[in-house]
Amino acid sequence: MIYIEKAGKPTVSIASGGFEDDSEASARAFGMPEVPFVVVPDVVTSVPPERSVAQVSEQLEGIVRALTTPSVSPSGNGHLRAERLPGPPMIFQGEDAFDALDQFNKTFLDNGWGDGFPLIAPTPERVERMMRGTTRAADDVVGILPPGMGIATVQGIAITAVMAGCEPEHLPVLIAGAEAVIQMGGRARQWLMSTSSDAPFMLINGPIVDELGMNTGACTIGPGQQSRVNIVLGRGLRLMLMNQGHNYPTEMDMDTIGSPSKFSFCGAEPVNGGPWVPFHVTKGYLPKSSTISVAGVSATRDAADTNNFTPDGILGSISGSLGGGGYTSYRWSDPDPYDPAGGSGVLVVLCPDHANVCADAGWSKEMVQDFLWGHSKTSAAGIRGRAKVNPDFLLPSWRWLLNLSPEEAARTALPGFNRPDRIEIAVFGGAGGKSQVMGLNGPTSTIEIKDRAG
Amino acid sequence: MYELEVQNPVAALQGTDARFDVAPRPDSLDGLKIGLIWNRKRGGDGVLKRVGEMLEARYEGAEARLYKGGIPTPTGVLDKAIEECDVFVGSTSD
Repeated sequence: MIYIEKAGKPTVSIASGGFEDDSEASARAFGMPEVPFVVVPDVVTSVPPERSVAQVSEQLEGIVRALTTPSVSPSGNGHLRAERLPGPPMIFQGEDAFDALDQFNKTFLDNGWGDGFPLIAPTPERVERMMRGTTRAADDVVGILPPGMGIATVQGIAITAVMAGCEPEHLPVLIAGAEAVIQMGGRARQWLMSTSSDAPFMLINGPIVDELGMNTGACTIGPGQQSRVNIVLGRGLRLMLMNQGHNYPTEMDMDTIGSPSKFSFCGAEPVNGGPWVPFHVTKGYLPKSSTISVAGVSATRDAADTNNFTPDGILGSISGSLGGGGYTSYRWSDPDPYDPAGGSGVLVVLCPDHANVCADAGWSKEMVQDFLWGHSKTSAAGIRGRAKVNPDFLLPSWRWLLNLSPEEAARTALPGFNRPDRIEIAVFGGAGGKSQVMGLNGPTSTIEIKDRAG
Repeated sequence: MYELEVQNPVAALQGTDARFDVAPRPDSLDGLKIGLIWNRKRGGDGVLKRVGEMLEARYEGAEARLYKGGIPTPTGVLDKAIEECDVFVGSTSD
């Protein structure tokens, strides 16, 4: 609506209850904090249509006032809260160092600047030490970081890296992480703010994996000593998105339920250990390059198979975990606005045992993608069921599904993705036949990690 | 007494530096074309159509028309709507 206001035409938005802060934050992110909105009590998508239609009748006066009265914001106050503004260094006093540290943590967590766990204090000395990890200057602007369109600087990222427990050599990874998110364009804003619990997943590739001592084996993305570097990097990306991108929970991160993946979510492929070319090489980078790939991951599903020892047996099992999630809906309903021909996708993380069976049998990564695509079954009956509730749900190219008899629909299944390459493949993890499927909001965004010091 | 100095982690917002005023408002919606911008979330179209009906009933000569947008609404749709209408009501969020 801000685009329309800038063109000189008055607007008012209708927001659902619970989205007031989100609407206000979006307005200020795009430089028009007074753009008006009214609120209907219930979430429109969660109540029967007749109820939401009835509710809006009570908002007519607010709608008229917003369209006819200059600079009136019926619901929002149009002012930025102090804890959402950059500020000078802060001083915390305590009876001793521990007490001062407690005061710091209480204030930072109360302000919503952390993830709920205790933070490392970003003292000037620690931030300066962190800056030694990059050759870039402190005041370099990395870019405008969604969803709040924050002006992300190298120093700002360094501050959040300290808070997460990162070391100086980790800073270039997080700077590249910001660039990877920015590279996604408007899509990043969509998944970062979504009511789906899309979490920022990062995959690290190239020599930096060994140089930083990252874990590519057992419990790669889980907690523990073996994954310390993965953990602080994942946490660093998240705290950066919050404080540099204003991706604050309940304000510009509107998860209905949320996800533990948002605390930290970082994997890495072995530098030389995989059976195929590494993930980043499939994205066009040289093997010697170090890269970060970022994606919004809405869900992870176990894809276990300890019974089969052939590619089609194992991949047949994994394909059972591919369909049905909300992340597949772009194939059937609205075309993906950022990639109409691409649509929904998944990242299949093959455990080494599964990947080796495929590679040893002569299967390439592309053959794996083709097989999984052909076996990603989405029930026509399920798609029809949703379409009956809302006929507009189906894209015109799928309207023929409505003409199937119930019997025909029951025995019809379709690939869950527009193209095989929407099924991305990574290989990491420890022993055991347990792969994972991650639902993606758009393809992974890969960028080279540069400007490393020393 | 111990003092701990720490740095503020919050980034400045682009929107704070580049701030825009809202558009001028008309005194009345009489005779105006009202664009309804639907973000294609379920139920939002019905809500907007109802708003259009109420405004048409209240203001003489007012005429509402619905535009199918998205998240975000393509600029082509917005440009067409801006050309065709005078004021706008949109659905946002879920």
